[in-house]
Amino acid sequence: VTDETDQTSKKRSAAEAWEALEDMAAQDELDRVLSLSEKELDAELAEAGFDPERVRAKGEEVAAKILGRASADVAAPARRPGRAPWFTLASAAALAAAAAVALFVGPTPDGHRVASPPGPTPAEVKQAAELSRKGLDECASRAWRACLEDLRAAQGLDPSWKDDPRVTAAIARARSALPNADAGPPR
Amino acid sequence: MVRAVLAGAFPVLVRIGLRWTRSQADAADLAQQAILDAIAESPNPADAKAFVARAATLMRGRLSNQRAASRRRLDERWLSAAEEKSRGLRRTPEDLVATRQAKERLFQRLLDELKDDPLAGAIVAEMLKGNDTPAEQAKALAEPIDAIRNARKRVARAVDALRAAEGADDRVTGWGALEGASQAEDQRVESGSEVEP
Repeated sequence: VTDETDQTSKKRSAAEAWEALEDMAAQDELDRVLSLSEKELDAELAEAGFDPERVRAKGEEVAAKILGRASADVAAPARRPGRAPWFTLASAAALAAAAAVALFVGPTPDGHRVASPPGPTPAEVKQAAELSRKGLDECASRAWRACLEDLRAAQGLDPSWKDDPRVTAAIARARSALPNADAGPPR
Repeated sequence: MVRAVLAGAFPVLVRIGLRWTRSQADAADLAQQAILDAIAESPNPADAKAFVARAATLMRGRLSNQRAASRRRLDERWLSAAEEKSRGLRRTPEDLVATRQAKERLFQRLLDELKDDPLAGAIVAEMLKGNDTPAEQAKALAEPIDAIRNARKRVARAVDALRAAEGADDRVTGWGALEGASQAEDQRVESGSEVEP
């Protein structure tokens, strides 16, 4: 298999070449998936048996959990990256930074107005949170019109939802799914 | 925004995870774990693609390690292997030889699999020479880049099929796969210079 005449420094053994081929296959696949549009990615997920909307909702949930946990556990001791169980975060630095980002961003999954300036009343905050949750569920089940109405209502009651990526993403999906987002019938 | 990066990474990582596991649940678990691992390394990711790329690398390493661990526990020599590791060596000399031989066997089988596909075989030969990128291979083989990319896909499919056919004897690729086991690492271990902290 090896070519003894090749004197270049890059030349590999068969075992090294096998490792490089595995890396190549993984990297090419990564590049391919990263180049997919959202629609193409959803199509591939659907083909694999996933509900793309649910996968995206799960992604939002995962992100919220990670950042929410970071703010709650900011004083946790450091851990070695890659060795922590999944339900803990890796290092105090990661926790602190993520918490800082979460607070900067504003909304947190458990206490939506924790770091926000004065605004809506507690009752409005609560109602907006319920409407947002309902709207996200409706978008996940492709009830676009209801989703759009509830999420907009939530934003009207509590403007901090305008900064929530789950809500803005869901609104964008609902708008793109509805030919006329404000007047037309649901698709 | 960190949250958007994390949320957007999840479906991409699920799709990538499906390459290595056919189970939907496993792919979702792998993606979730990979995000946790990657955010631990880089708490404030700004570049979504770089974040996904790093998370995918960590995901692959973790999966390989998990599979390797589960296979090792089925190995009747496992206790002695564990004892060896507890003295500081990550791998026994037998592990190293077996791993290298298995990779050589897989490489040879790959050449056999691709014998009717000259361009794919040529790609493998270029990898052996250290020409890894499509551009390098296109130049070396004087072929259009699109033909090279298509041939690389065929090579990748063959690699995956061989890994699966081997049961992917993950002792082949699992050892130290978290950051990619290398021959240099093997040599350090063999010489006894690599000791766990």
